[in-house]
Amino acid sequence: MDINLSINGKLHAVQVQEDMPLLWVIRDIVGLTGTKFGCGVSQCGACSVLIDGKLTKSCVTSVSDAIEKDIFTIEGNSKNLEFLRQAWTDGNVPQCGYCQSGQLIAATSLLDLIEKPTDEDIDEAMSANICRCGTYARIKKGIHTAVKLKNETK
Amino acid sequence: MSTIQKIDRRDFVKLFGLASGGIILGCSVAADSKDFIPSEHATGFHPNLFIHLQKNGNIILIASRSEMGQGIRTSLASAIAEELEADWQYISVEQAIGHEKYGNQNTDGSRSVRTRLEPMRKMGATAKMMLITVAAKKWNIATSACKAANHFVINTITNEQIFFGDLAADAAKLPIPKEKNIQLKQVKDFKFIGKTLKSVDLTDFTHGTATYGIDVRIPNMKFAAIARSPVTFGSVKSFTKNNAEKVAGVEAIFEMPRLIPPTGKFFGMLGGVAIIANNTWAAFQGKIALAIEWNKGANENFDSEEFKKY
Repeated sequence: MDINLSINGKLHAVQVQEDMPLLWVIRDIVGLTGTKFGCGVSQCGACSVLIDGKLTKSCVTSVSDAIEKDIFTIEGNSKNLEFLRQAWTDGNVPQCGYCQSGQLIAATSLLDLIEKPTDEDIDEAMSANICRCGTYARIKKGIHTAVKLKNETK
Repeated sequence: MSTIQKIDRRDFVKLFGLASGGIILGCSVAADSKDFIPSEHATGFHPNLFIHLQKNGNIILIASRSEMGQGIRTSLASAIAEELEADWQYISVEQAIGHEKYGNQNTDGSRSVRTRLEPMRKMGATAKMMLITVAAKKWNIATSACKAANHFVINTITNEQIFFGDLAADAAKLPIPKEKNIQLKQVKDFKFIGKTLKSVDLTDFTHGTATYGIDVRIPNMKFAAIARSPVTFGSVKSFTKNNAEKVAGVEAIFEMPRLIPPTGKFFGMLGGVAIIANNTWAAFQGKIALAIEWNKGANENFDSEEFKKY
């Protein structure tokens, strides 16, 4: 069926089956490959996107559930994501980088919800995002750094 | 290793790979000195296939091995930066395409750094010597009165300095220095090798623009999924593809035979059934819809619980 999607503020008209997971529409049809395929069963978080601001695993979300909603991916821009990117760079957070799109989207969602998250907030918010390189400590530090960077620019 | 000293510069690259413990194949393609240092049309200088110092000072390393996540793109760049006395911010890495001119691009066995570190260091040292030679000529002093630091060549008598990029074009016209004249740094003087460095891919990692294997897109590309035997080294006995063919987006279905090369079973092609589709999801759906009967082979009765007893 014909579906109109809004991804990072840009409209995309796609022709796909309505039960195709959003992940594959974003990656293979629209061609934005920053959102990653990890497990395909909502266990790893690599495919994380925001739909109307809500953290969502795109590998188990049908494209039809995203119609007329705002989809936000790692290729998008938001203030919180920018601070996180800077913090990720300052702290050399990624190793192989594969899961980091999902990590950054989950962290963006966290900062959108909580202005100054505690370690416990971070543990809870980021628990669904797996990093096989084990960059968790740097991720946690990165989120705190992003908050600091944000407050410094206020 | 020592054979390199006996060769003339025309064969430098060709034997460089050999002497380094690397592989000679790819370098032989570039052994032509015309490829090695383009003169008339040079926009920068190309000491070899792997690094490119441009007039703007940028140093581009062509990574001919795959990145598997350990950070070899950064490690190999560090070897160049080290011996060249480069400023890290000018270093970038471009992933080589698969091509015979790069030689053996097989990436495994922790060999990328083991086999490439010294050649990369020598390349960096070679480039540095060429830059110093040009600068020394400009100042009319001995090369020994010059040193390189932080992307500049420094006149140690007057403390004048010239940016690497401003020396690149002239350096491109020089012959390659003899290997015996190349001096590598002492380990104690290392600033990059073995130090914590920022990944050269950080910007791409944080913007979703890094290209992993799964992200490669070429014109008219198809997507495939392969159904594999549930038992290691099993093969396809028979399969029914009717339901898989009906999946929207599935375009072709092939049986992949189990192939055993003369080198032994461990480097053979595992058998399976491949689904070719116009997107990944369709390929996955097609794979699920296949009905396959397997020849499970010698491992059919392998018992994990039994194995654990040994």
